[in-house]
Amino acid sequence: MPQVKLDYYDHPVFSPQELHFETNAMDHLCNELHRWLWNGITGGLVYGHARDGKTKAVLAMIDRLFTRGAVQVPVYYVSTPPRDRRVILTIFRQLCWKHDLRVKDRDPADILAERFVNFVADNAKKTACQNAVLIVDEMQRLHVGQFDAFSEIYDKLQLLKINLMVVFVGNDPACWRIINHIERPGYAHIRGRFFTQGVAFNGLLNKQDVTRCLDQYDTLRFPDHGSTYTNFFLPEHVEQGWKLATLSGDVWRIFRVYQKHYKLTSWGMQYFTSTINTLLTDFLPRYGVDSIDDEMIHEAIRISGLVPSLVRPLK
Amino acid sequence: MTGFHVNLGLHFARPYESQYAMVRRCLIANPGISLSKINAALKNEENRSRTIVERLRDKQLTDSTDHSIKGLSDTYRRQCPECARRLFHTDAYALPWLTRCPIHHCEFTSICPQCQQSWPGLKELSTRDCAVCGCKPLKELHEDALTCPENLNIVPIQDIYDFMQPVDSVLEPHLYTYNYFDYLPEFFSLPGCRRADCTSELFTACQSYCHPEFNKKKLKSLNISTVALRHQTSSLYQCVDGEKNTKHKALYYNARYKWNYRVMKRIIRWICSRTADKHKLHLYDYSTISLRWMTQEPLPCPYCLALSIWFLYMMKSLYAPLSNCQRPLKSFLTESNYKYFYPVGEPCILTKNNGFVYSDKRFSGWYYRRCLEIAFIDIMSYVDDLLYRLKRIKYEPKLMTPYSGRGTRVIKLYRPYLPQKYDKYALNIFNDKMVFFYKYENPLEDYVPEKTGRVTNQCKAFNTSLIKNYTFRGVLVPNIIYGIIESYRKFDIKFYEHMNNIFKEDHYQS
Repeated sequence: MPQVKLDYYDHPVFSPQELHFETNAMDHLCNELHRWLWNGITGGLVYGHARDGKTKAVLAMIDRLFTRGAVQVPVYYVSTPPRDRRVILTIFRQLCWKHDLRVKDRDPADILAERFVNFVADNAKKTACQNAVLIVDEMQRLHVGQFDAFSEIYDKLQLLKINLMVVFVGNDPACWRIINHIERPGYAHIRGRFFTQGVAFNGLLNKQDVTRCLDQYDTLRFPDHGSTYTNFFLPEHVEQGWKLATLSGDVWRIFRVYQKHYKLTSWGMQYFTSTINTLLTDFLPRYGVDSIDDEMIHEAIRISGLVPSLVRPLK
Repeated sequence: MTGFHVNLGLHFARPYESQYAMVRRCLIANPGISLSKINAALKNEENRSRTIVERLRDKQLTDSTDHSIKGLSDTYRRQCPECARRLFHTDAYALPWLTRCPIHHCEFTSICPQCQQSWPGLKELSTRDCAVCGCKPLKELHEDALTCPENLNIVPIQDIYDFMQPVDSVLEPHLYTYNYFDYLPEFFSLPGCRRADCTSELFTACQSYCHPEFNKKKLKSLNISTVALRHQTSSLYQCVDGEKNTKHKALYYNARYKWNYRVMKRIIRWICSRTADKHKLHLYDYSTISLRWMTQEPLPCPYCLALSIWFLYMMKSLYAPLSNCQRPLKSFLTESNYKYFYPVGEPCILTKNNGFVYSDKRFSGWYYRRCLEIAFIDIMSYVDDLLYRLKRIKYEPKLMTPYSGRGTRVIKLYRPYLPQKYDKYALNIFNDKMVFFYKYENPLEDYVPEKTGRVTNQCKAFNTSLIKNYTFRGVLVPNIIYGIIESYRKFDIKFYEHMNNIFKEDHYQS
């Protein structure tokens, strides 16, 4: 196998899209989705603050959902784009585009819906699984009338005896506007079908969460049989037995200052990884692990953007 | 053109479905997309020259099997409306012996009962707006089409395909071939062993014999029609390549003489039933008579002509000088493009190690006599048509242009005869015996020439003309019907001498 020459900046730490950590929140989400799936629930809402890692978490669920009989459930993901005209056709177009189905300008909504439904039906046959999960991200961008598109898909799949569960993912508090709208009497069919269940998705909530993430820096490798993430950037210190996870207490302690001051519910994963990446790739290689102090961690948190994102009215 | 994902409609797949049904469900699963666009998208993935059916077939689930039936084409033209409503179709529906749908027991139709149009071909499917025969949205499909495949009772279809399976035999796989008794000049290149295929009316009777589990009741429940068939069985003898062939000729040489006699008796009896009492049956050597001569002289008697051709064909291997000189019937027969004599031989089996398996003597004899009889029918049919055309030339002046003109073109454009209906048979190996199935015990008794009627005394004018123009006469065929084989033997010797003389004359002249 030819050796691919890797550039230093090919490391996942420098690419947020490729950096992925398992968190307790993801485990909780996985358990909840399985509970919904195994109990025949047809839909639910996953809500959380911006940058908490919801999208990454649901994307990680694509190959993790199984039926009670340990048959993998096909999962479909679509993200609602921001549009000035929010119509049902947009939903079907997005579903077809996302899954490489043919979309032409003149294709009406029902045709596109049929194509997507048949696509799901084909996969159900291939996987021998009569369940399907559709994840709709950025649901706060939807117009209330667009939910009928998902009802239509649900009904069509019911004709084929395929059980669809639609999981909406939305930002807190933006999603509540539309949830409140759905609670009106005229939308009982939507509410009853898709919004009887909800699960909050949080970032890192405690020191244990932080420790688990930092442990992954010490265990994940790049490339596959290469150095650990920590070793990649701090080889001399790792050889001496140093681990990034030893910083978990200090890192969490410093974050707690911001959490109390700005009344944050959790540490969003984007800000957390940005903080740790700054430490790992910049500060620690430059100044050494022995020079770690509170000031360094404060600076890393400041660089992560956690502070500017708090420029909003406090409750 | 950018590609796109093509849905296959796997949800609607059923066991034993035809390629037509496969394409139909693909079109339903890709609404608003024509077959050509689907083909282009599939071709985009793999740039090989294949049909859309082949491409779709490759994409199906690995456990799907191709159940297309060899010999059938355009099977979509005959469908069960109830199955079509449920998006199901199988190639077996095109089998002529399947009278009704084995699932719904309704009659097959060539027209959709909903829209009253012929069942659409592949190209018309996407444009047909009909819930029964077209490609409609999911909510307009029949509920049985939407539910699980297990809800459609495919068991009868499976039974039909099981019924069509060849019977296991220690000799399988093998080829049926033909052992020709005589050397045939290259001019007479004959087709190989013609065996009834699954579309033949004989097939079902043959298969039901070999599949005892398919009794009459079961066949009736599956709406399989059978015809009454006779059968002959034969023990099998395996020989090294070529060995038995040599022994065959030696062993059966004398037996063939008797067999020829028996068949000739039958033929003459048949001729006598169609000719007047005063008709004198003659044998002639027609090998020097040209088509041109036949257009200008009195027409020969069709029965004498047919018998003469048959006799010479049958006997030529017994006339050593004639067979050695390889004297083809080069005259009017070749001019009228009649190339194929019905092959006289016996069916045998070529095993996978190139060994031959032959039938026993009893069967060989029976089959040989049968071949001779069918050969006569074949020749008689040819003569029947030839003389009809010659009459047209004689009595329609506009066709009587000079010889090099249109006159004989009427005959020359005539194509070789195809095997007659009596030729249809089915062969099978069952319990290590060869079983030969056939319909007509005495083909000659059922045969009636289309154009030739009763003949009175046509021979006389022809005979006179022949004597005038040629130096020989025909040989009068004795009335051997009620005679014994000795009279036949004397006649045979006489004809032999007659032919020998002709050979000598030719030899001297050359």
